[in-house]
Amino acid sequence: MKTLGLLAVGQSPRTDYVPVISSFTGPSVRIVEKGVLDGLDRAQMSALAPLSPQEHPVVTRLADGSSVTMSKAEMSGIVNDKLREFARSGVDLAVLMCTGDFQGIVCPEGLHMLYGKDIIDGCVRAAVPAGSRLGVLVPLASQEAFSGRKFFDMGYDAVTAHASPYGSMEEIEKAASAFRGCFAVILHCMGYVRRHRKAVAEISGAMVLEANALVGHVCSELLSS
Amino acid sequence: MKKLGLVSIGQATDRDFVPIIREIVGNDVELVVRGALDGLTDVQLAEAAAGEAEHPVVTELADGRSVRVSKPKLVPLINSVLSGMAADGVRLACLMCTGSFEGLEIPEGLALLEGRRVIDHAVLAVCPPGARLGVLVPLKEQEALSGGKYRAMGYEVVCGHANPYGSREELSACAETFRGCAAVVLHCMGYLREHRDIVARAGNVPVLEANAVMGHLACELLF
Repeated sequence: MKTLGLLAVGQSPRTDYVPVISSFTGPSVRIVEKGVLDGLDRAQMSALAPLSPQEHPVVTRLADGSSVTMSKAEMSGIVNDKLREFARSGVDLAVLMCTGDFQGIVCPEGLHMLYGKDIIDGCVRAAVPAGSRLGVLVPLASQEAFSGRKFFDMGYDAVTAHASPYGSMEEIEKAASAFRGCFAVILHCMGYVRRHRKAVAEISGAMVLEANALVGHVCSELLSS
Repeated sequence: MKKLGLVSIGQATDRDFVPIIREIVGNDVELVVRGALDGLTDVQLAEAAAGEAEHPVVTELADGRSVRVSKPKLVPLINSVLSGMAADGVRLACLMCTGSFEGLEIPEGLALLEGRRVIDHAVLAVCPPGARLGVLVPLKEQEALSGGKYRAMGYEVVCGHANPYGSREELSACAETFRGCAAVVLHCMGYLREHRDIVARAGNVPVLEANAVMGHLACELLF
């Protein structure tokens, strides 16, 4: 049996996306979860909140199902600690479960590690020809400019909208209507799961790429030999 | 039922990559499998063969023969398969070749996953540029072009060649050269699970099998 380590930027267990990933990796892969915010109380978490409105924030989920907005820069030290724990416990593959870019991450010696961001960007480029109209769904209005620019720079005619995966389905449905006529839509946060994807596909008529499912496909392939 | 088009650059069979894609996409998808060389006579096949100076494409005929085909001569044959698929209601198709083709015409309403684009970005998804990457190709004369492509993408490349339609001994010997690589890409759709397992074990390295990667991406897009 092989072991897959999933590092959430919020708190484990991620009862939202882990079932999606395990549906791909199957019974021969054991999933071990850690969360960057595991064991922290609200006061400790607020010390890791974004310092300025200019910073591109990350939205993530806590164990009780609520969500918090955090600073990636403030969290990178804990990310490195958790990766070292994965390396010590000898997981076969570890994934940083975030579609965003973390600076200052050090992959420990001997750990086979994938960045969620690389998986998602690679799969978007693989599936969607440059020049196509690409819908980009993000949790917060304040993330739209950054994520839209990122996919624009990758050569896409990017259309952005926002709706938190930790909010209501009505918000998701409203946002999805912005994507009519798109070639494809990327759900650009690990918190979007099958029900979000289904709603976006039905309303937009576009092909939809769900970030955590892409991680599941890639991990199942790498761990199946 | 949703349809997935699989366009081979040889002749369509239900062998090779078809069972691998089927396992990944499940039974709720109709696979429409067609080949660019379907129905060609031996004379027409000889006309499509690669010249001495060309970078050839290696593919298989329905009777199991391996042939070396010219890419420019394949393009109109592929385009005709794509338009036939679109006419038959296929909305997503996979071009099952890791090579690049100039002059593809993708019909309105058909999304095409091109093997080259998919495999190159799958490599970027799982292996950071700068890492040592193993690249397995069928023929020695393909090493320079395929190795050069990944070098240009920023990798430290180790090339090896072993024809997927050849012997396992040849493959096992070649796989040893990939020890110490961060990952290995099997750079031809002819490599199957059995080849992947030989390389993964001999080289003790994660392996990307091109046709399975296509299957995973198509599966997600069809969900």
